[in-house]
Amino acid sequence: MKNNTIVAISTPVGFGAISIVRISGTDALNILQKIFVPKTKSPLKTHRVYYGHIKERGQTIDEVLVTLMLAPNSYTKEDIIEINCHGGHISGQAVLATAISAGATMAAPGEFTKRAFLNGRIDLTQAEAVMDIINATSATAHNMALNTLGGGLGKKIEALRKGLLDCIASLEVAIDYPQEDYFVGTDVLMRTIEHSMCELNEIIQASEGYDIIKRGINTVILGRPNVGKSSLLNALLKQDRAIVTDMPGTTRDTITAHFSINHIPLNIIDTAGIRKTKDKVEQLGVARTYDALQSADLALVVVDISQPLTDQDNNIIQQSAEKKQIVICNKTDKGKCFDVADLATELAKNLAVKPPFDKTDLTKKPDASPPIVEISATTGQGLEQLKDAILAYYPQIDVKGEIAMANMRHIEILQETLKTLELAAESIKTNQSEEFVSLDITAAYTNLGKILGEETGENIIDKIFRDFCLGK
Amino acid sequence: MMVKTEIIIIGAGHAGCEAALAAARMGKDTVVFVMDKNQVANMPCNPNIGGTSKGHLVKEIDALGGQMGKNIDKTYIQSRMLNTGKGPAVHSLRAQADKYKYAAAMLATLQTQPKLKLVQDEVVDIAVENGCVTGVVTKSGDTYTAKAVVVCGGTYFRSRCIHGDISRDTGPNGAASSMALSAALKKKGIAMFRFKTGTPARIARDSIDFTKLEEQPGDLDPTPFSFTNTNGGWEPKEQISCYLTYTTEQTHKIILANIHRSPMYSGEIEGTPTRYCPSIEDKVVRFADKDRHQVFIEPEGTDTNEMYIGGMSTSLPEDVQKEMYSSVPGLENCRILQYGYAIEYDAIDATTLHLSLEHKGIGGLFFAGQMNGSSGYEEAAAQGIMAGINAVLSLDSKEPFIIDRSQGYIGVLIDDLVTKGTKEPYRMMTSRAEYRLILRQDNADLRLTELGYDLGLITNERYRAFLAKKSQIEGELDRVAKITIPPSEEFNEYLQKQGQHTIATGTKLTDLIKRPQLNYDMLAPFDPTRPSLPKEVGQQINIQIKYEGYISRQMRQVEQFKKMENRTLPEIDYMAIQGMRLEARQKLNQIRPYSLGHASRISGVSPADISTLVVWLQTQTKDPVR
Repeated sequence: MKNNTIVAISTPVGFGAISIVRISGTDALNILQKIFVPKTKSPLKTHRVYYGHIKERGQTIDEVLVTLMLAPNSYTKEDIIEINCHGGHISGQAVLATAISAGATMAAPGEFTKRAFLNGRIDLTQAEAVMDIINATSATAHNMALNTLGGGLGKKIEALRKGLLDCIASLEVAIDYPQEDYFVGTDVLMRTIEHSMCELNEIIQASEGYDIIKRGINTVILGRPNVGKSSLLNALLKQDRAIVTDMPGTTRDTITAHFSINHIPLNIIDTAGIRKTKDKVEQLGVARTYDALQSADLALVVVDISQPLTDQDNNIIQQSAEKKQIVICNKTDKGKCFDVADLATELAKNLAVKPPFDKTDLTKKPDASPPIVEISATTGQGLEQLKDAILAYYPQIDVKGEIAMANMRHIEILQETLKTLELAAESIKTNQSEEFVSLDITAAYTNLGKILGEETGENIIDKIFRDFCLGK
Repeated sequence: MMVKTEIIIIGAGHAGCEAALAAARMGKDTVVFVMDKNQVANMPCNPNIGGTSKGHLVKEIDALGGQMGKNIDKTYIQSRMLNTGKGPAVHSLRAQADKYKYAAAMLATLQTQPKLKLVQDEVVDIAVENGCVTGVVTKSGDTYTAKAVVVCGGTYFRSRCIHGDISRDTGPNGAASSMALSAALKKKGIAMFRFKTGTPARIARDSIDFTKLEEQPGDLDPTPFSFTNTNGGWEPKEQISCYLTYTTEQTHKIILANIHRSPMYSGEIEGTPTRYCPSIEDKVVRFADKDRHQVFIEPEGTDTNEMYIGGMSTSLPEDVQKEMYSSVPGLENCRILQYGYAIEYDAIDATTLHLSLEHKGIGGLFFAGQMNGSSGYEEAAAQGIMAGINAVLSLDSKEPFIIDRSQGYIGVLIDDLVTKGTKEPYRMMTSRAEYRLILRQDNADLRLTELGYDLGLITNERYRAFLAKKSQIEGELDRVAKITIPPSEEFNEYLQKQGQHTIATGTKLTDLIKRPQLNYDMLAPFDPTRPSLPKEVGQQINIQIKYEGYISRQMRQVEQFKKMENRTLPEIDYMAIQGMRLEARQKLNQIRPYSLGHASRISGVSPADISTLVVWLQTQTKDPVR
C-alpha cells in the first residue's frame, strides 16, 4: 500500500505562540531535505529536535525547530516531521505552502489519525475519541471526549440496554415457549420503555450541550456606536487571555475572538456599530452585523446607561430578540440615567411585537424580558454577573462532563432509538402481540449496541436461558 | 465389491432421508447407508414434529419439495396450532407423531424413490484424493465411489448412553454406535467435539392414572404441514390426547438428595449439554425457586403402550428415576418401560463448513444434521435437504443453493451454525430470525417454492397450483385496494356490535381490515364483489393488509441486510490488516466470509472490526468490494 505524503498545520489556526506543521509519509524526509536548512552539519537523527530555517528558492520563510520521528515509532507509524514555526496565521501557512510545493499533499481532516488507525497504531473507538479531542475547542469538551473513552456514556447506555434486554427476553420466551408462563406483563414493558425514553432524552439534551461546547457559542455583540462594545470585548478578553484574530476587512468590519467561561468556549463577533448611515463602507459593516446576528446563538446588546435609551437601542434589542439575548447596561461608572427594573418592564411589553428574525430558540419564553446586566467595562464591575447570565442560558451543558457524548453519530443513533421506542410503546397501547412489540424494542437494543460497538444476536438467547427455566 | 454411484448419503435419520430424497429427485444415482433399517427416520426423543420455529422449518422443507411435512401429515396422531393468540408470524404447527408409523412411512418413501438405493451397512471410511472425496468403504469391505458424500451421522458417532453408573457405547435406544467413521474422519483432519443430550423415561400407558392429569386435546380443525395437503385430499384423522401434570416438592427433594449420583454432576459426562433441553436435575438445581415444573405425557403412537414423559429428561440411576417419576401426580404407580438416559456423541465444528454445508477442506464432502451441532429432527431435516441439493449442484459444477436469513429459517439455521459455530446443541427459535415477521409458516411456499421448482424438486402439477394461488393473491390484493365500503345502517350496526367506531363516509376496505377487531373474512358480507377464494388466499390477503405497517418496517431492515450481503468479499489475507484486533483477524481468516454482512455475524468480530475492514478495503488500490 503506497501512501502519498501528507502535510497539515496541526495546531488550531490563530491560537498559540507557535504553529506546528506536520508531515507524514514515506517522502517526509525527502521533502524536509528540500525545504529545511539545519544549523547542524551532522546527519539528522530520529526523535531529536533541530534548529534551522525553512527556505524556498534561497529565501527564508521562517525560523523553526524541526522534530524527526521516523517509522515505526511515530503516531502514524510512518516517518513524521514536525516543524515548529512562529504562531499566527502567516508563518504556518507559508511553511505549509513550501512543503506542498516540495511534494507533500494537503492532509484531509483527521487523516493523520486515520493513518494511525490503518497502520494499527490505534483502534477505531480510540480514533473517534482522538478526533473529538483534536476538535475540542475547550477544556470541557476535551474532558467529555476523554470521558467517552473511559466509558461515562457507555455505562449509561449499558444500563439502558440491560433494561431493554430484560423486556426482549420476556417477550421472546412468551413467543418461543407458549406453554410456559413467564411473561412480565405489558405494564412492566411500558414502564421500562418510558424510563428508557426519558433517559435517552436526557442524554440527547446533554449531548446537544456538548455539541455547543465543541463548536463554541457563537456570540454577537450588538449596539449603536460608542456604547462600549469594544471595551466590553477587551474587558472579557483581558481576564481570559484569549487571542484575537483580526479578519481582513475595513475597520468597521466584524472581529472574531475566542475565549471561554468556565471552559465553555465563546466565539465572539464584535460588530460594527449599528446606525442608519449613508457611508458606503459603514453600510457594508452594518450588513455584516446582521449576517453575524443571523448565525449567532447568543446576542449581547450593549446600551449606555449614562444616557437615556434611544429608539435605535430599542430597535436593536427587538431585532435580536429571537436569539438568546442579554441586555448589557454599560458605563455604570458614569452614572445611571434610567432604572434597570423599568427597562425590564418596558422590554417585556415590547416583546409582543414580532421581531424580524427567525425563531431559532424555542426554549426562550416569549413574554419575559431578557436578562439585564449592569456593568462597567472600564472598571470591570458586573463582568461576573454577565458571565453567570450567559451560563444560565446553557443549563444543559454539564461542565463536569458526567454525561459524555462523543459525536453527532451517537446523537443520531440515540434519536433513532427514541423513535423506535415510541413505535414499541404504540404497539403495546394498541394491544399488538409480542412479536410486534419485540420488533421495535430489539431495534432499539441493537441501535444502542452500535454506540458500544457490540454484537447483539447471542445476548438475547443467553439472557433467555439464563433467566428462565425452559425446554423439554 | 465395487459400486459406482453419483451421490452417497451416510445415515438415514431425518437429515439423511431428506438429503437422499433431494439428491435422487434431482436425478442423481444415490445410495443411502443405514446401519439398521429399523432406525430410518427414528425419533429417539420426543415423538413430535414442529413447534415454535421448528414448525416453520418443516413448512420450508415442504415448500422446497422435501418429505418431512408430507410424512407427518400421514402419520400424526394429534395436531395443534400453537401461539394462535399472537400474530401470524409466530403461529406454529406442532404434531404428535406415531413414531413407528412415521418411520415406516419414511422407509417406504425411500424404498420406492427412483434412483435411490437404501443399503444396510456401516460406512467405516471415506476415500479422498487430491482434496476431494471419491467414495466410501463399508464394514462389509465394499467400496462405493461417488463424487459427493453427505455425512448425516446424527448422534451415532462414537455415542455413549449413560444413566446412573451404567454407561454403554451405544447409539440411541441401544442401537449400535458408529465408532470407525468418527476415527477415520478425525484422521482426515476433521476435529470432533463431544456434545451431550438426553431423553426422559418411557412409561406404560396402562400404569398412568389419567384422572389426575390435565387433558390436552388436539385442534378440532387441524392444519396440515404440507402445502400439497391444503387444497383438499387430506382428511383430518381422529386424534389422541396428550396430558399435562407437574413435578412436586417431593420430586425436587428426591432429585436433590441424589444429585451426586447424576453422571452430569459427578463428572462422568464430559459432553457439553444444551441449555435448550435441560434435564430435570438441571432445572431443579438451576431454578431452585421454582416449586414445580410442567410434565407433558405424550403417546408415542396408536399401537404402543409407551408414553413419553416430556419435561423430565434425566440420567439419574434407575432406582432414583423410579422414585422420582412416582412422585409426580398421575404417575404414582408408573411402570417404566425404558429409563431416561443421557447420550454423548461426536459432533464436528460447523464453522469448517461453507454455507452450502460442504467441508472447506475436503471437496465434495458435505455434513448435515445433528452432528453439525444442532438439536432436533426439524433442524436436521432442514440441513439434510440443503446438503442433498448442494451435493447435486456441486456434481454439476453449479453455484451452491443458499437461503439467506431474510428468505427462511433454514437460512438462519445454517448461517448461525457455520458462521457463529455452536458450543452446545443448537435449537431453532423464532427469536433467532431477525426478519421473523416476514418468515411466516403461512408464506413459506411464496418464499421458497419457486426456488424448489427451479431445482427440480417441485412437480409441474404442484407448481401450477402454486402459480394459481400466487396470482389469486395478487389479483385479490389489487381488487381490495380499490374497494370503498359506503356507510350504511347495516354496516354501522355491525361495526358497533364489534366495538368499532361507525363510519360516516365511504371507507377504504384496507383501512377497515387494519382495524384491531376486524379482518378480511369478517368483512365479506359488506364486500359484494368479492370472488370466492381458497382459505389460504384469504389468509394471505388479511395478513398482508393488516400488518402492512410492521411488514414494511421489517422490509426496510431486510433492505439494509441485503445491502451488506451484496457487498461480497474477495479472498483476503486478514492477518495482513494491521488496524484490526488479532482475534477478529483470526476469526475472519478461519470463516472466510463471502460478504461484509456475513463477516459482521462472526462471533468475535465486532462492528468496529467491520468498520476497520471497510476502511481497509477502500485503501486498496482497486476497490475489491464488488
